[in-house]
Amino acid sequence: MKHFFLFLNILFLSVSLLAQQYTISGVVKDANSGEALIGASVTIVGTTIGAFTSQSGAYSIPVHSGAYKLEFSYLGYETTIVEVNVTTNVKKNVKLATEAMKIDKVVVTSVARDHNVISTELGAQTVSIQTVKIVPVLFGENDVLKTIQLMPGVKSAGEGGSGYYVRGGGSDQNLILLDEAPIYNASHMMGMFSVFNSDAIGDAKLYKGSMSAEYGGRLSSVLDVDIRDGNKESLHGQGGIGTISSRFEIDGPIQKGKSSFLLAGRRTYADIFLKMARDTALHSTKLHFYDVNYKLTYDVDENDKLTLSGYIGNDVFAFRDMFGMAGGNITATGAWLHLFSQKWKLKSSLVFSRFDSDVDMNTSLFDAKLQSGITEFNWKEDAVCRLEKHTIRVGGNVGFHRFSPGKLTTSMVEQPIVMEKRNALEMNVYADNSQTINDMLKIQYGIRFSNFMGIGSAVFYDYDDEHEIIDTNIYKKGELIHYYPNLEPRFSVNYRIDAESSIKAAYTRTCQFVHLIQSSTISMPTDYWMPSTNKTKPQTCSQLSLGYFRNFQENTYETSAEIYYKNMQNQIDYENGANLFLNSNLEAYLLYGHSRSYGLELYAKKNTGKFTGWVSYTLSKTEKQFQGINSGTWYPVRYDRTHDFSIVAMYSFTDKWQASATWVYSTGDAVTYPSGKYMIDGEYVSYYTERNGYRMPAYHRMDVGVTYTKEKKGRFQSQWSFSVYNVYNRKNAYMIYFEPVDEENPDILQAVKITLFPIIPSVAWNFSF
Amino acid sequence: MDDFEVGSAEAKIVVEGTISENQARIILSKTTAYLNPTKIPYISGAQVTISYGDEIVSLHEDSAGYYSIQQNFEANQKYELAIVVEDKLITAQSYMPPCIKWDSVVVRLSEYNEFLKTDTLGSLYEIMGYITDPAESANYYRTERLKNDTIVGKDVTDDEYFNGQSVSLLTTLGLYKNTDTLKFYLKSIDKQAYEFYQTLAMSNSSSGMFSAPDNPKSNLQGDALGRFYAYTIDSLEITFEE
Repeated sequence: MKHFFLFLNILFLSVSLLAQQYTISGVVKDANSGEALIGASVTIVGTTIGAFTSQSGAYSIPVHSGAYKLEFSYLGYETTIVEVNVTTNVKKNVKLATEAMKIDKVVVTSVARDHNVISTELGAQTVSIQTVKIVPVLFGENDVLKTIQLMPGVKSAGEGGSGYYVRGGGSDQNLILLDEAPIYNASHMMGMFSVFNSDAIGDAKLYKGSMSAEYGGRLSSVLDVDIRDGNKESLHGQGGIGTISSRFEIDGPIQKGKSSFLLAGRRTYADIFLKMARDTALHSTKLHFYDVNYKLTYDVDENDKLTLSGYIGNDVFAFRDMFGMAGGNITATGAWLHLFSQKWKLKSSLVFSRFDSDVDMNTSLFDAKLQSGITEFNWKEDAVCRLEKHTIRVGGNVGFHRFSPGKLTTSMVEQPIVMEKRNALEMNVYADNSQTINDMLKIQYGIRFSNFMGIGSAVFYDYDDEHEIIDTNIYKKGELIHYYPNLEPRFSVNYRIDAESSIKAAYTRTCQFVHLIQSSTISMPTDYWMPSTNKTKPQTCSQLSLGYFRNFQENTYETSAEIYYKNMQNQIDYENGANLFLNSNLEAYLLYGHSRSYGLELYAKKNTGKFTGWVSYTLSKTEKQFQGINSGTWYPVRYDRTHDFSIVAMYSFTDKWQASATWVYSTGDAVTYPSGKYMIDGEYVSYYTERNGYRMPAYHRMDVGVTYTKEKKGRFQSQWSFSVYNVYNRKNAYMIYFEPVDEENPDILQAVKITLFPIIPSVAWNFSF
Repeated sequence: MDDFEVGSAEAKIVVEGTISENQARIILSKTTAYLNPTKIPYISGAQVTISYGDEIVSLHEDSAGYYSIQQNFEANQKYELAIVVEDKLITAQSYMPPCIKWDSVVVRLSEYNEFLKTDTLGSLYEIMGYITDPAESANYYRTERLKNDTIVGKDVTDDEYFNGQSVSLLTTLGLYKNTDTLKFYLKSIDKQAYEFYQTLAMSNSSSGMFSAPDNPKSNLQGDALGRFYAYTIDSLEITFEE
């Protein structure tokens, strides 16, 4: 750690020696609420020099002395131009006024319109919360995770679900951050809902290609979501009553202009309807989830800001007192943002995240209780320096993880069945620089040095080929079991062809030290996380990507084409028939292999006007190779959907009426089905010849929505939102199985498909004040 | 649904073989198409032998594809199967463990019977079948539950979680009427047989939602599907009365 701070000091020093010019800096806020605006664009008119406001709304632009015009723009706000005369360092705080509620202007991204062309980011997607609220979804429950599934390179993990796959990576290879806290299970109700309440969060940013060295710990992608700051000037709120859930959010000042709070809650109420059922047995059935987001902010002075925020959620399913299932995440983040100067800021955070799952059974035959969970503590430091041609970021974190994969207490056997807890320590440092070489060329380069250590007390086993234990290794409390250092270089370059187009290339290496043990494609209470061990090595990934970005008509239209190639090492799969449930010797049944994914992603978006929306298309291939599966040859992963196509269209008829529609199409999943059968013990057994050699039928679906916004009464405004899921009632196959054609010919089988959701209309009433 | 079909692989030889304390039985056949199978093609004219210790016995073909021999085979002994068929050699080994017997079977009316109200189908009973697992060895069990001579339940287990304990291997609920007969088989089997049935139960069914299915793990050497296992058996029978 000492060396790390020394390194920081040297860097600080060298940077300040380099910087022999002035800066224009300040904070951009909402004129109404006083809330800091994150990601607002500040540009010197007539140049490409500019900055985006940070999470506290702060910006800083290095300039030489002279007169400048600064343009401040932010989506949904009036663009403001301010003249500044620079003879010394200048502080310019700006408040932006919202545009009158013209919804057609409140769509799409919150960054500069040509951000896609000028930035070094490849494979990055910003999802504005306004878009999330307009896109029609199942049961009208809008959800950021369902909206990102409509982006190129992102595939849905399953019908109606919130899980997703990015560029061939597994759903456990996505880092999902809520105010810096990793969310270990981002879904409610087995994936029907995500943990993100749209009322509580700001815009979400997804990185699937290049990423800054500050991010690490997952192989495929990062989804960075922040809980909004509460309004510092006056009390505001919003909420809604929907088909299966209701929400309420309230935020406002604690001390006007200085501190604020935000509190948002949701609850589903399927079980409230069960209480009305005639069958009294259903009255004691519980089926719901709730979640709460909170955030407190306090501006200590001009240079210091404190925040405390977090999330608490729980899913409950219970049938009488016989069966119960509960589980949820808890996160908390305390952060201190300090501006050293107009160029330097440092964010220090303490982060806590926990996921727990409990299953209870209580019958006359036996009772059983299954508990599992994962806990993480993290201390993070992140410093950013903005100079004329460099944005330098350095930082690091120390984290402690505790894995409790499972404990079963049951009357059936004498001793509880326990999978041993595992402890791990993580220490990472990183440095990253975004550099403008000239008007044409921008580069970003960084390195992340990640270190993962397994810590005792623990018992590890060595196994032979027959899964028998041949050696036992016992580690004392606090003893180092294994140490995995990894260097993760990141590099990207942007070559600007002209004002509206650019070519970019990137190389990204990522590392992952946790592995999700999962028995099916849907999220189950029996899934659990395990750390890398002596036998299970950390997963690594190298990705190369190349992109062409071109905007048209002053950024009204943006288009991009990207190709990528990804190689993932130390992937795990299970031996045939491996018991994943409470198996202390599971590692004996793990298989290790690698996977590769490559593809082309096309994207075209219309940003402004009455009609907005986007079209995305992905052509890709994702394969795995494991000794012991498919005779050791490459086979497609289940979600290897060759073609994946989405259209999202939104149209504003008037200020009151707005319509939206989405259409998605994708190749069916690659699945394993038998190519023959034979008789054992008088019953047929399936004969398989090839892993994932068959295809489910293609998936397609259209959803539509209409929103009617009522006239504002004072500050109160309400909105009716109608949506129809699967409007042409496509019977998409969720599952295919085989059954006899008729009773007389039990041998002759036919395929039968199970469809999950037919056409489903829903209605919601939303309000805000 | 019409837009989904599965293909047909080339037919493979299938061996279904068992050896108990009083007989050995081998059935030889071939795989058929999955959706529209032809009649099961049984294989005649194979040379089938079983060797153990210094002994070797030949099985005779009773009917097409069915080979057997009636004689005493002792427990705590390894048996080796060898089949020569269609110019191929298929072999397998299996160990016959000592016989473990039922200690007791408990059948009682369930407290949920009233809740279910299913008088026409019978009453809901709870069934538990206890054994005492020997502590000194790794044991593997296959249980079969027959109602009026039809199999209604089967399971395999190892003793990882109850080595040396007295435990119920049959904890189930079932609907039974008066005069129904129930028979419980307890087969002691070896690890390879356990793994065959375990992998068959865990991973052979394919609905497209869970992890990819696969063939059960077989103990046969050579180009064939199926299994050969030795077992010792204990049975217990009860009849429901007024």
